[in-house]
Order: sequence, then C-alpha cells, then structure tokens
Amino acid sequence: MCLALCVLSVLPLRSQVRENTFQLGFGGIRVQDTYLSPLKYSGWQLSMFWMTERESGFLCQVQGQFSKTNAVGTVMSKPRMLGGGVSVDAGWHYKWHPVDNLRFTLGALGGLYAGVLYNENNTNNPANAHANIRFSATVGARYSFPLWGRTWRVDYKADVPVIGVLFSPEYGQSYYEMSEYGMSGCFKPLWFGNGLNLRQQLSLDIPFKNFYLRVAYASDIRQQSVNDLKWHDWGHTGMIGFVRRFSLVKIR
Amino acid sequence: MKARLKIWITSLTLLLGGCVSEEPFENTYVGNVEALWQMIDEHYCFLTYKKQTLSVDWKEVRGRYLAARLDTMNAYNLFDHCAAMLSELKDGHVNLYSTADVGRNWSWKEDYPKNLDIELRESYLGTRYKIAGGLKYRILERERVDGEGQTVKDSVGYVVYESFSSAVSHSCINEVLYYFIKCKGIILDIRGNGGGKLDNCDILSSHFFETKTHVGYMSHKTGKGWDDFSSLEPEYITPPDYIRWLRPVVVLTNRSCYSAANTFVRNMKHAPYVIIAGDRTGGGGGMPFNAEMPCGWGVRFSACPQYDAQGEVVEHGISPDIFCSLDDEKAKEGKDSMIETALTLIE
Repeated sequence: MCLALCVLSVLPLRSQVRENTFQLGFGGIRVQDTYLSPLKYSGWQLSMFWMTERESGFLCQVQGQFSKTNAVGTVMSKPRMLGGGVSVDAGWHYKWHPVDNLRFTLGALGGLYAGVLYNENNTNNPANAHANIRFSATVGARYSFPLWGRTWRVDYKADVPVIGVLFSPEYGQSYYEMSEYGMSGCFKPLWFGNGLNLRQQLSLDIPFKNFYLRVAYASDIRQQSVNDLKWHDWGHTGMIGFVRRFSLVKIR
Repeated sequence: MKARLKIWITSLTLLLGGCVSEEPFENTYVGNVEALWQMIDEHYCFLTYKKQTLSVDWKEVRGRYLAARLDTMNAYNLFDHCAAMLSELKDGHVNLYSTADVGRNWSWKEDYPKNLDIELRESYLGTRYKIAGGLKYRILERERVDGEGQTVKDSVGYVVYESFSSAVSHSCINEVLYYFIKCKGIILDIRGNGGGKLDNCDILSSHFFETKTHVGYMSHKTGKGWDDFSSLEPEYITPPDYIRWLRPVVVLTNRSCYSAANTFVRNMKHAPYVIIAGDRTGGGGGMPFNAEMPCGWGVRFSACPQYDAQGEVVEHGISPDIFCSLDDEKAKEGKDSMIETALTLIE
C-alpha cells in the first residue's frame, strides 16, 4: 500500500495544485459470506483513507480496512471472523461551480478491490477472497461557508461501481481445486444486478492554520450475489484526518 | 412527469431492494434443526449417491427429526439429536462440533476389524528408526529363498505414515528414498492414517510414478440442487524432478485409511510398481467444507466429490489388490502378519 501511495504521489501533473487527504476511522461493520457460514456477523472495523486530488480534476484514492466480527445471535459459542481489504481507484471528475461557494463534481473512476475474510471456526474452507476490477461513477458536492473568520467546508462524495469483473468461487468450489485446476467460472461480470455497491462520505472540514481538520462519516457498502453465494460487508465508520492544499513549485 | 416518477421509483427500489443478504434460521431448537437439515440439503455432495447406495432419504429424515419433542430437550439432548440426524448419512466427513463434543459416525472403521496393532508395528520400527517430516522409516533386513532355491539376504525399506496432516516435502522423501537405495522394495504402511492435506498426498504419491498419469476426477457443487455439479476435472499425478522410486512398493491399508489416505490409495493404484495390500480403505471421497448453525455449533460435511479414473465415486473406500488381515496367533509370536505378507510380495 505504501508503494502504491508513493507511485501515485509522483504521477505527472497537468496542474501542480493539489489537495491531499488522509483519514483514519473506527466504526461498526456487518458481514455475511455464505461461502463461509450462513450466519450474520457484526463487529468493528479500522479503516484508512488517502486521497489526492489535482486542480485538473484527476483524483486518486486508496482505502484499507481491517475488521473483527462475531456471529450475531449465537449462544452456544461465539464464532469469530477477521477481514481485511484494500481498494485503489483513480480517475477524473468534472467540476461545476453554479455559485462561488458551491461545487458539484461528476466523474469516473477505474480501480480494484482485493480483500479476504477468515473464519476461525472453519478448518476446511477457512477463508474466502473477494476481488473486483471496476469502473465507477462518482459524484460529489462541496459547500464552503465563513465562520469565525475562516472558511469551513461541508463535503459529500459517493462512488458506485457501474461495470467490471469480480472474483467469486463457485458454489461449492474449494480453493484446493482452484489452485490445482484453475479458476474458470470464478470471474463474473460486475454490475448492479449482482450486487449494488456504494461508497459515500459526508465530511466537515474545520480550518486550522494551514490545513483542514476533517471529521467525517463514511459508509461503505460492498456486496455481491453470484454463483448462489451471497456476500455483504456493510461498514459505517467515523473518521478523522486532515486535508492539505498546496502547490508544487519547480525551481530551475 | 409519469416517466420521471417511474425512474425515481425504479431507482428507489434498486437502492432499497439492493441489499444482498440471506436470513439465517432463528436460533430456536426447531430453527437449528431446520438450519442443519437445509445446510446438508443444499451443500452436501452425496445425497443422491447415498440414496442409491444406502437408501438414505434425506427428505424423509427431515420429517422424522422435526417430529421429535424438541421443546423437552436441553442443549445436550439437542446436540445428540442433531448428531444423530447427521449420522444417517454414514459419512466420516460429516461432523457436528460444540465445545463439549464432536458428533460423528465412524462406522466406516468401527464396524470392521482394526487390522492394526500399534505396539506390534512399533516393534518393526524399533527405537532407532529415522524421522523425515511425518515419515518414520528404517531398513528391515530379511532372509529369503529365491526362485533357484538359494537363501539370499537382502533388505526392504519400511515407512510408517500415520497422518497426512503431518508435513512431507519432496526433500524429505528424497532423503528417505536415497536411504533405501540398496533395498529391494518399500513397504509403505498407512494403516490408521485418517487423512489430512491433499497436498501431502500428491507430493508423496508423485515419487512413485514414471510418467504423468491420470488417476481420477474431482468436481464441485455449482448450486443448491442435489445433482448440481461442475464437469469432472481430471486429476493427474506428475512425477517430480527428484528421486522416483521405480522398484516394488507395497502399500498397507486398513479400514482406518480415510479421506486423503483414501485419495492416496486411489492414486497409488495407478503407480507402475505398487501393490495395495490389506483391507479395503474406509472411504471419505468428498473433500469437506465447514459451516455454522444458528446456535454457533460448527458443522462439517462432504462438499467436493472425488472419483477414480473410471469416474466411480470413492466415498465408500477402495479395495486392495491383495486382501490380508492381522492374524492374532502370529501377533502372539510378535509377528505382524500384514507386514510379513508385504515382505513376501517384494521379490
């Protein structure tokens, strides 16, 4: 992930003005993966979000999370699942300012997600991987307002994968079989019909001396229904971080 | 206006109805029995096969086990009740797990002669045997009369592999085979081996093949129907670029050879210089999966069937090339009649 951040930070710029965001979050998550268990799980997740946005409209974001959940409603024992995943997206959005202090954005992202869920109770099929490559539509709105002599900002953004390719084992397929005899049948088209995914964030940027302190609510809805297997991963996270706007100046 | 309204309603329906979720059964006694029955009904891979071979009617099982007075049971009774329901399948890969017990049906080995005396076997290994990964081995010296009536002295390698969960690597096997370089053959004793990792099974068997050989098939369920299976995936054993043992080998088996050990025997049946001797293997030809009941108990069941090279299911075991059993009288003399038989099979 660090390597991805370094590479993305030095991508060629059409404009040298950029805004970097880094956030850490903690929140609740609900998980179900019928490949591993028919039960629903709930627990907590830690998440990290990094984004760079150029004046030109180019943006790139990296998100990672780790979760720990327990089965809901069981009494005889408390099965546990651990999960983690990383998504990387890059794209461009068009900015429209109907008035000075209001900005709308509309754009497209291309990216990938890779994650794994590990069920501590299972010995024969202990884990399941989730991955996809997708193109997403992204929308956003930002409202700036003066308060106590500084400019505060309220920001909302959301992205929804529209089309792509996802990975899922077949209904009763083992990873042993996949590793030995290939994964044909494990790649399916990703679209609304096999799982509506949505990532959104509402944030308040509080101005400080030369950066914004960002307080945000982020919701990450990942789900898929393919090969008679269902998976959902609904996370709601409170986040805190900072936003810095700066420009690079070349000195010859 | 109407068109716009339709778009909004469609979008809202997509958003609200777009939740991908499956409601588990309620955590009641009835809910748990229902959940367990349905789990097997949708995921277990041998329901049709068990109906044909053992007359297990899983639809009928549901009615019988739900008709019981579940409301009078405590948790221990419920566990036994659920375990009994699973036992109807007579499958060693079908288990129920709680913190207090493991529900099981081990009739595949308990209903048959053991054909293994651990102490007797250990007397052949002695105390100076070598250990390479999960393999215990030593050289057995012997005297025999050859075809011309001459008494000759030679040796046979003896290997005991008790569990396919114990690691073996190509390096380990190379060392063992090199150690046996002057031996006429090898006795590979896997009696009592209840299985483990299929990777170990493939690694070990590969050293006894001369060429890439088709040994069987594997498939998996593609849906909830009893007969929703993928096409058969051929399984091959490819000899490694290491030492290949192309001299006589006798694999000793009994009814406790199960799961990966059963697959090993299936593979070795196709090796050129191998004889399978002993009793029929216990079976376990379905790679298992795990799931959970609403109360939290774990469930294991066969999910991916394995077949032999003729496409026959190997769930109920594999017959040896030569049947032999443990002779109690010889055991009293300190002789393991199965090992002695194996020694005579190596010329």
